[in-house]
Amino acid sequence: MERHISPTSPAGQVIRVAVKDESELVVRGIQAMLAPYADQVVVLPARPDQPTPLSDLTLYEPSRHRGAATARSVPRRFPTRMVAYSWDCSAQMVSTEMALGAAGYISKWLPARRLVRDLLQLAAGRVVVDAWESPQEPEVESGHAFRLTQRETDVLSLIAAGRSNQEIALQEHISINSVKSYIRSAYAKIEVTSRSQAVLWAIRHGLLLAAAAGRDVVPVPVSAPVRAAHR
Amino acid sequence: MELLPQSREALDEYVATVDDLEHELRVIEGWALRTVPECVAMSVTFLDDDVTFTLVASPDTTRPVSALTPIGEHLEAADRPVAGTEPALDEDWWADMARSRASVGIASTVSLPVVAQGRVVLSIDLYASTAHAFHGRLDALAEALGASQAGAVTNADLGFDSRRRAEETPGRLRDQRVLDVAVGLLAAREGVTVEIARAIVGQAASFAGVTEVEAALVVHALHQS
Repeated sequence: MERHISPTSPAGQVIRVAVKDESELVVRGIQAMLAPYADQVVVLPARPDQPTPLSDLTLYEPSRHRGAATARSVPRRFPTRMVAYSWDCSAQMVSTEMALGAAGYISKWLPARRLVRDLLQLAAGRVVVDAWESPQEPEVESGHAFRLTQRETDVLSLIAAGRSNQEIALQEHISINSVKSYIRSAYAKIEVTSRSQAVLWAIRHGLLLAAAAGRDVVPVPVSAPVRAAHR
Repeated sequence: MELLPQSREALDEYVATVDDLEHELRVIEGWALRTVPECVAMSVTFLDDDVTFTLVASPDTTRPVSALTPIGEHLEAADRPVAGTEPALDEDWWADMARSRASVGIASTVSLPVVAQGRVVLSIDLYASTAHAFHGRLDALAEALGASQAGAVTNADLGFDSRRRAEETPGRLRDQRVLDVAVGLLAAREGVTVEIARAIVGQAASFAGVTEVEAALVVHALHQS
């Protein structure tokens, strides 16, 4: 197996990774998968009855994590670098977790080498979204059903990122009136009447990440099914 | 007439229900000028959004008059009060005094409300260079502009306050965008409706003694962190 991965761990240190909300079986499986990369990443042993051990990164399963959070009124910002690690890489799921403050979102479909690469980048302080899905995964249709065009999708993404019409026109190389026209048509298709509703819709349907360039999102390829859901 | 620079900027950011709002403003301007050729300025306010757009014949002719300007000095000779005819209860005299505090080049105004589905949605304010420009023309104006003649108010804005509102509109739209996006972000994060999220921002601002926009900027900062 190929062992040379770039980038390397910060200052040559071994990245300590905890796994939250998972069974011993899964944790041991991840440990075994990453064992060949033990000089860069070590998966801490599972301790079902104890708090998650101190680590550089903590992988969590979004669906279980969400289930544990019963009080929706309590802000759910993560205190440390928490990384969503899930089979469900739908754009909606990714966008929701990132909006909640996850440092990254990594697919459980990833092979070991790519997983290690992502973990090293995350440990270096980058935001990583690697929502690669198995080709056998059924396509998740969230925004597609609304029949948004490419341009309408882009404009919605930029609105969710707080851009002005002028900024959107410059970025998309279109006129102001075209921007307004796309906003009106997109709003009609997704059945919202205000910018706030559009922002909420964009986050829930995975459109915010595309416009989050300012957050230093690593441009890791996203699987075609996920992208296609919004293009 | 020309759009104020601030109204040009506001037009870029304001998403109205019509495709080309500037064209609609020009249509209103055309009807106004055909009915009242003395019109030197016009403001259109979308009341729901508190957004005002202003067109002026010349930027210099509609600036506020200096407080030192003698009463009636800027008025046309025919409109000036005759010296020595200033009885305290003379409505014409008081109207002339109001005009003396008006903006340069503005001697009369009319505000026409536009009603849709039983409520006022639009206010069209017209400004003329002569004192009696709108006399006998209100019916024609209201009919041409689709406004309510019954709700027309004359000479209520000789100080051209709508221009100030138009100048403030771009900043207000920017603040609204900051608030709207913050509300959407908060709604997504908390799993609540945008109405509840907006109330949360309002409450937070109230508790902290800051404006809603300042509270919204905190939401943006938390999202970026």
